[in-house]
Order: sequence, then structure tokens, then C-alpha cells
Amino acid sequence: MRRWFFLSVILALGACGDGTTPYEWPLRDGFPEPQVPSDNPMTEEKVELGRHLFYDRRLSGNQGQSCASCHIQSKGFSDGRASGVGSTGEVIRRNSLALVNIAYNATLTWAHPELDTIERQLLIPMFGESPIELGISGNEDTVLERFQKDPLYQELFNAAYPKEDAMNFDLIVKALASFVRSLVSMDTPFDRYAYEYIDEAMTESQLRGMDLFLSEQLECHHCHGGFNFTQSTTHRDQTFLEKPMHNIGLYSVDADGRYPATDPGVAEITGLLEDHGKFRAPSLRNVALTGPYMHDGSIATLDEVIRFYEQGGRNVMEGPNAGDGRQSPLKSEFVRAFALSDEQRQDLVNFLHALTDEGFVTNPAFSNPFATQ
Amino acid sequence: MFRNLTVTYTVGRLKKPRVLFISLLLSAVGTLLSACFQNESSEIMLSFQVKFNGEVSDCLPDGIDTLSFYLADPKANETTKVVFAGEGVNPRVALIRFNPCGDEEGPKVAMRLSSPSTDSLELLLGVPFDLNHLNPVTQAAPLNVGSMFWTWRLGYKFLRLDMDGWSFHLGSGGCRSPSAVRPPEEPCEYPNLPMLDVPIPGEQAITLILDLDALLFEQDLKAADSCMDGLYQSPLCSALIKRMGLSEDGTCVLGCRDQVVVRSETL
Repeated sequence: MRRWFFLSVILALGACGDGTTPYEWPLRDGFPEPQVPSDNPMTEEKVELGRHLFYDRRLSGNQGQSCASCHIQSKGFSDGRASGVGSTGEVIRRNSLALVNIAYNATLTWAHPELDTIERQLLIPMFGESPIELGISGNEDTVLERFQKDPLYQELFNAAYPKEDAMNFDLIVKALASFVRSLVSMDTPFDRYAYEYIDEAMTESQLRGMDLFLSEQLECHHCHGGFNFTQSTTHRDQTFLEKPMHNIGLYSVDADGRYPATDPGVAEITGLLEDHGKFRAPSLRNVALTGPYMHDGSIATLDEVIRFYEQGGRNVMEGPNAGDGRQSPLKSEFVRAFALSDEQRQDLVNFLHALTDEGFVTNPAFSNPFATQ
Repeated sequence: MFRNLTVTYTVGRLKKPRVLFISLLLSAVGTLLSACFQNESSEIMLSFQVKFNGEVSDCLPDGIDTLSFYLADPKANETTKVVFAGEGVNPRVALIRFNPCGDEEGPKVAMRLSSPSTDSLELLLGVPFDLNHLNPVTQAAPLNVGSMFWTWRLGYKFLRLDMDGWSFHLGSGGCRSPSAVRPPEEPCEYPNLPMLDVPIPGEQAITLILDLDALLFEQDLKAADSCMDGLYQSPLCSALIKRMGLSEDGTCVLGCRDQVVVRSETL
């Protein structure tokens, strides 16, 4: 009798008390869990609803695009283009960021020091009007009705939100955020080498590249350090919040080191000269799949990215953005020229390939639920 | 602490006479014990300030982007045990971090001493070898701060100073391991762990000043590369680690007391 009592208590606790199933993070032993907003706890049901919404073109005003149009699983949830294109064909000025471990991001998007929850970030592609991405603004009722009338979504919503009467965009955002938060990658050759102590997990060349990556000569890890290969990382056990942004000398259009006015980075938010050209260092996980690179997609390959850092920045010779970023007074102290042999450069590229998580980009739990129907 | 535990216990079980008796007894014992502990232990609050360009402040001065350092293994005398105290604090290691000037308080850390009878403390500036080369991802705070970690091979940046185009990162050097992601089995050749002496002049609150003017005195940073490799063999880097009480030739790399950068406000 007593045993059944305890069993039922445990089951009740385990099931959130409302029929939903708490999400279990597929983390390595001892790895910290990401921070999750208290008003949007992770459940299996919300993640599954979010996955459907992520892949559903009906979420855009004109039904032309889904989130997955610019975040393609096989490309590490980036899109392979220099800059994104919205549902109405409008070109987005920035490169579509890869989605990987963004549950651990200290900040979201390329350059917004205060934007720190996925729930708030999602409002930009969903409702933004300049540029239009999904283009829901002005089409709110139409978009909502598509899901309200669909028996599949009625079922998914009831499972995810058993206490809610009606679908609304707040619930859609929370489900999408839950799915995106679940896109966790920790199983690369590097992870197996570093955290499972499997010496054979990486090739000799990759190991040489890793030692270069972590060297004070190259200083890559000052910005792309930590388990997520970006210092802009936070988690549940972290006591200090760090959300660094850096100017890497990609541009310097005047003597003060400004970036082109079309995209000055953090300065667009703060208005400060010192924030010109500052962007968040993105995670390098799956980086071999996520080219072209930089906030504007202006560097095509990893080899060229490394050559860019070898130069300690970029000298744009002509055109409206002409100027020598290498000499920018606003450039981070960690971006300094260095010299590599061809073999060392190749070692470094090979190391970056060791950050590709094949299981992540083929994981059925992250894939298009409509593809098999 | 004892008293709190026993109070909770008695409130939870008031209705049963036998349990009530035991709990009253425990409560009395607990009160006595906690009284003993209150008499014998003491707590000291260490606060930190930074001096730069002649100005003293408790937040990042203009021109300094990052200023953080670890303190470890506080000791008093043979009979007094000392630990860092407070919620979520590692008893052996504390991270002191200056924040941008604004609303946040200046950095400080509490220390609990098992006896109040001490007139000085000593602390390592840095992370001792046995804690320095572990997987940082699975460590508890404050050893899980990514920006303070180099590699498994070198361990943590004991002190991190980033300023306008130049950095000084103090940490161990000459560490041997098969790759940057494998820890060394033997202590590094240059542990680079200076010792700080902190006088305790009877007060419970002490302020330590990290004097960057003393560290950087008459050094031309613009003309030199940053000092970040754990070896510090350029003339500039060698001068700086000497001011941290260390020497680049390996004659004084662990527990030396000659540093001139951190000092008590009262001195």
C-alpha cells in the first residue's frame, strides 16, 4: 500500500501534474543544463509541437516559408546563403545564424547585448516588418486560423497545453522556443576526444589544428572558447554572466574605425562609437556546414576565414566599404596578424571539421515531421 | 546554523510528546553548540578595489576591459582553518571580478575562520595544480567560467587583465601533456602562483587594492606584445611577473611573497 503511494507520488511529480512530460536534456555526464525561462518549462509535448511549427510554411503570412527555409538541418540549421531571404523575397542584411546549442547563448542574434531569451528573439522573424521574414504582422488572424482548424494541431496543442483553451501566438512562440532550445549538439569527434578521452577520435592533423586553435599565438579561443566554442555562453550553474561582443576588423570605413552604416553591429542599439562593428562570436559547432561566414556572409570558406585572421583583419580595397579593417582602432586586441604554413592552415580547417556533429544534422527528432507523411 | 536546523525540526513535529521531548533536547544541545561555534569562529569580509592612473575604484576603470583573478587556499596559522564562505562558493577557490561601473557592488568575498585568533592570512593568487587542469565544463562555480580557462594543459588564467589592445594573462607555463586538451600528470615547470599576505588588524572587513599602476609602472605597453603564454620571457612580461612576485628563470614560481601589486588598504 505504502509502496504504491510513493510510486504514484513519483509518477505524479514526473509527469508535471498536467499530463505533460518533462523534457530530459540529452547531455553528457556532468554537463550543466541550459537556463530555461520559468514561464516556459521544457516538455516533450511542447518540443514536438514546436518542431511541427518550425517546419510548417503556414506560419508565414503568404505560406511561402517556414523557419526551416532559412535554418536547414543538413546545414547545421543555417541556409548556405550569404544573407537570408524573407517570405516576400526581401533580402535580409545578415547571414542566417546556425541553430546549435542556442539554449546556452548568453544573447541571441548577431549583435544585441540585451536580447537574451529565444522567446523574444522569435518575435523578430515572425512579426518583423523591416525586413519581412515570416510576415505574420497584418496576417495574425489568418495564420492562427490555419492551425486552429487543423485537427493535427488541435491534438498537438492539447497535448502541449492541456490547461489552455485557445491557441494563440504566445503559445506558438513558447513551443517554437522549446524546440529550438532542444537543438543540442555534444557528440562531435572533438567531444569524444575531450570528454570521453578517446585519443583516436581525432586525426593527427585535427589534433595539430586543435593545439593551434588553443594557442596564444592564434588566440581563437579568447572569443570562441568554452564547451560551446563561444565565450558568449551561459548555463544554469554559471554565477557570472558574460556576453562579449567583438570588432574583428572586417571593415573600417573611416579613421575612427566605423563599420558600414548599413550594419554597424551593437552600435545600432547603443549608439556608441566604441560599439561599432561589435558582433557576438557565434559557436563554431558544425561550422564546416554553415558557410558562408561572418555577419554578412562576406567570407565564403573556412580556408578564407583563417587567411582573414592571419591578416589580422581585412583591407577592403574599393567600393563603398573601402578601408583597412586591419588598422581599425576599434578592433579587438585578440585579432592580431599571425603566420601559418599551408599545412598548419589545413590542420586548422581539419580541426574545425572535427566540430561537426553528424548525429545532430541527421537526428530524426530535429527533422521535418511532414517529410514522411 | 545548528539552531535553525533544530527549530525547523521542532515545528515539524510538535504534536507527538516523545518527539517533542527529543526535539527540545536537540534544540538545547544545538543552541549550546551554536553558541560555542559563534564564540570560536569568525567571518572576515575581503573587499577589492583597483588602482589605475592614480584613481582607486571598485569597478572597471576607463581603459580596462577585463580585470578578474582567482584566490585560493586561504590559510591562517596551524590551528585555524580558513575557507571561503557563502552560498555557492567553493571553500578553496574564489573568483574576484571587477564589473563595469554601474549599479553592481564592488567585488568581495567572505571567509570563515575556525578561530578568531589570527593576525594575518595568506592566499594563493591563482588555482592550485590539483584543481587547475580538470574539465572546466563539469566543475562547479567559480571554476566553470569559460573566459578564465585556457586549456586542460595550462589550466586557468589566474589573473586576466585586458586593456586597449594589450593583455596580461597570468597562469601556469611549461606544462607537458599529449595535447592541449589533455591535463599534465606532473606539475608545470612554472606554476606561477604568487602568495598574498593579508594582515588582519582586528577588523572584520578588509579592503585589498590591486594596484595596476604598480604592476605597469614605467612599462611601454604599446611597444610590446601581450603577456599571455605562461612563460613571460619578453623583457616586459618578465618585468611584470617579477612585480607579481615571480621570476621568469624559475627560481621563484610557487608561493613567493615578493609581489608588489596587491596590498591591504591600511598599509
